[in-house]
Amino acid sequence: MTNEKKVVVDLQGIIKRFYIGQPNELQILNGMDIKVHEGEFVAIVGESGSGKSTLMNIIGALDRPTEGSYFFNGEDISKLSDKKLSNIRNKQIGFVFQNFNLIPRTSALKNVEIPMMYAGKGRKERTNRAKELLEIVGMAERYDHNPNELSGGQKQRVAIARAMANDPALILADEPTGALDTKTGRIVMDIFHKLHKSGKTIILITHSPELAKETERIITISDGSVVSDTGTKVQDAGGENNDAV
Amino acid sequence: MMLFENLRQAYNSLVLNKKRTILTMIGIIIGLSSVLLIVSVGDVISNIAEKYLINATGGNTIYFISGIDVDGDIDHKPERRYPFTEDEIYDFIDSTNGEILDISSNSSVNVSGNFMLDDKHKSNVTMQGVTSSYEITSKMRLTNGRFFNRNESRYGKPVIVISDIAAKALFGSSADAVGKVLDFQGQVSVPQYDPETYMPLDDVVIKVSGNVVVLGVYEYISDGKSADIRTDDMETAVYCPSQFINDIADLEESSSVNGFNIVQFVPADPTDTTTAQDMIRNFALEKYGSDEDYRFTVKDQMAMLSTITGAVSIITVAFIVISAISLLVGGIVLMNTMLVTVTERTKEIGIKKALGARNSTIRAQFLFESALICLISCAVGVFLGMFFGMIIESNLDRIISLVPNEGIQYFLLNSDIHVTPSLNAIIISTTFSLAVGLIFGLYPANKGAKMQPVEALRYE
Ligand SMILES: Nc1ncnc2c1ncn2[C@@H]1O[C@H](COP(=O)(O)OP(=O)(O)OP(=O)(O)O)[C@@H](O)[C@H]1O
Ligand SMILES: [Mg+2]
Repeated sequence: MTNEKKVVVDLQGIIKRFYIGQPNELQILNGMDIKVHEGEFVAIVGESGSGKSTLMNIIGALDRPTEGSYFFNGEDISKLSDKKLSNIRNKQIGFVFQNFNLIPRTSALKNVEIPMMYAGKGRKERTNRAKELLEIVGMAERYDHNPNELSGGQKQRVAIARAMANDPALILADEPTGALDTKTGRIVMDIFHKLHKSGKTIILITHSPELAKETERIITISDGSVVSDTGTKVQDAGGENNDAV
Repeated sequence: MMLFENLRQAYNSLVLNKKRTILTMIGIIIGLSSVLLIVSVGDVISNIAEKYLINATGGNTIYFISGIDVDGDIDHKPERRYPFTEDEIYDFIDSTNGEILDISSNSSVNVSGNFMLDDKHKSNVTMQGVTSSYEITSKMRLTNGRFFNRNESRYGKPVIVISDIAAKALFGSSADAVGKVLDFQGQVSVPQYDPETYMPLDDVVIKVSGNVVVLGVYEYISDGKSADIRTDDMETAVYCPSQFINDIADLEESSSVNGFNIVQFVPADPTDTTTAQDMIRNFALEKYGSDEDYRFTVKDQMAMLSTITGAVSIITVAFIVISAISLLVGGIVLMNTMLVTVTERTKEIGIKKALGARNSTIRAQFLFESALICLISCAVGVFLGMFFGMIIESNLDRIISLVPNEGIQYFLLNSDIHVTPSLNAIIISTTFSLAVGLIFGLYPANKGAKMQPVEALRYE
């Protein structure tokens, strides 16, 4: 295995403030530098309110940093337009949320199809791929069920299948097992391991030290700053060059 | 590709909030229906006005009003009247080389009674007073003999024209009728009015009798309305000069002749009356032209009609504007509903954005929903319009019987009235409603489209 991998996520001096210009202005991220390489499985831990989700939203292009640069796959996306960001979210990033966030009154199959629909894929291709993905997460028999007819664990598996729909480079999971019991959480975690083995880059936020230990690398956050990083086992493909592809 | 998905989602959303959807639709349906109704009513009124004017006189007559210019200064009040005598008018008509056939016949006085040849052959009839132009304006076809001419009409000669049915009953055949003399006995009912209050009094009934000569026989044509079967003893109209009835009943001359301030001329060519109108103008100016105060009106019925339909269409437009306001209210209701919908689905918008939906995707989804609400409302509104139109149309006889004027009742029953909305009305109202749907749907849709993904996702 080569130790030279390209950098998927490269955060440089990321600062996030809320209520900017108001008396209650709040700085949540205090200049973070994080690099994640292709194929890494990273856990982000930290106490509640430390800024993990805020960080994750920036990594996922759902939110823009107040200051700093964010290179995603070598491209600075911190200043991109809404339209370009939605494109990146659609094709390059897959989200898994703590509370599943399936679209209500819409079958499991349709939920998985939605990102492909936004990507402009044809109906047949969509359906086939969605069925395939549901099969992988063990939800093949439930494809025509609506979210309100599924258990939490089942919903989360559908959500993971949906995150995989457009075969994104990066999967972001914000406490994906937080709403599940240990046993169901285990099933979900196993799916992430499977995805990691197939080469996906995964960033996982978790409150469980056990689950964090299963990953390759643990980044600990406190009060908006990285306080510890077990470190990457790979080297940058292009040394310190941020533009490395 | 997204179309079907948008449709599915819009449908889901409408079904999910059934009550809200229905209330919103009611708002739009009311607005749409009022526009539809107003446009339809305008159409019906112009239609009736047209038919009424044409039917009432059977053609395009020319009004001559001496002393008043109806399009002129309404404050102009001449000191004196500018009448024409009967002789002047007939001499004028004689001088037009046939451009003008006669004055119009609108005598309201009839004789009802019996005609008899001998004791065996009699016939119950109504004798109707008309002028010589009636032959043309009523489009009647004579099978034998002729209609009375202008002079016979003018001097009230005792001549009549009867139907082929009456001819057969009285004489055996149409050919045998011409030139025969008939006795008649009957009565004339003359409406009376209190000279001070103008309240109607009891009719004065005048007994009349005399001899008349049959000049011609016309072919009776069923009007096709009443399901009548041509029978030998049926009662058909007999025509005589109005002036004849005036003479035998010793009446004042009928109103159209009486004042001679207003005369209705029947032109030979109803399609182009310009020559006839010019002649009438010259005729008027010849007598009173030297008087600076003299004003007059010469207008044919088509011109009168366009004045009326013009007024109707102005009123219609005014009402459309008013009913468009109710559509506006419907639009505001729709906007409110969509704002609630968008807010309710904030979380869903956040999820979709996280999955890569663009602003335009979200906007299209909500616009689609408001357009769907409007389209369904339009369909329901148009359907209701047709449904109620059909109900009204099938009960038209009963509705018309409520009209307090028998003459108008008769006229309405005989004019083919359609109450169902015209294509024109449907197109106008549907376009209005769809425009309202899109305009008022745009603001909520944009509001949804512009939501920041993180904030939308955090929405509880
Ligand atoms: N949109 C916002 N406006 C104002 N404050 C915010 C906003 N988003 C996050 N915060 C604040 O930023 C801080 C960090 O929040 P964040 O959700 O990132 O914490 P977290 O580390 O994910 O916590 P948890 O483990 O409980 O999920 C919190 O104090 C929160 O109140
Ligand atoms: Mg969090």
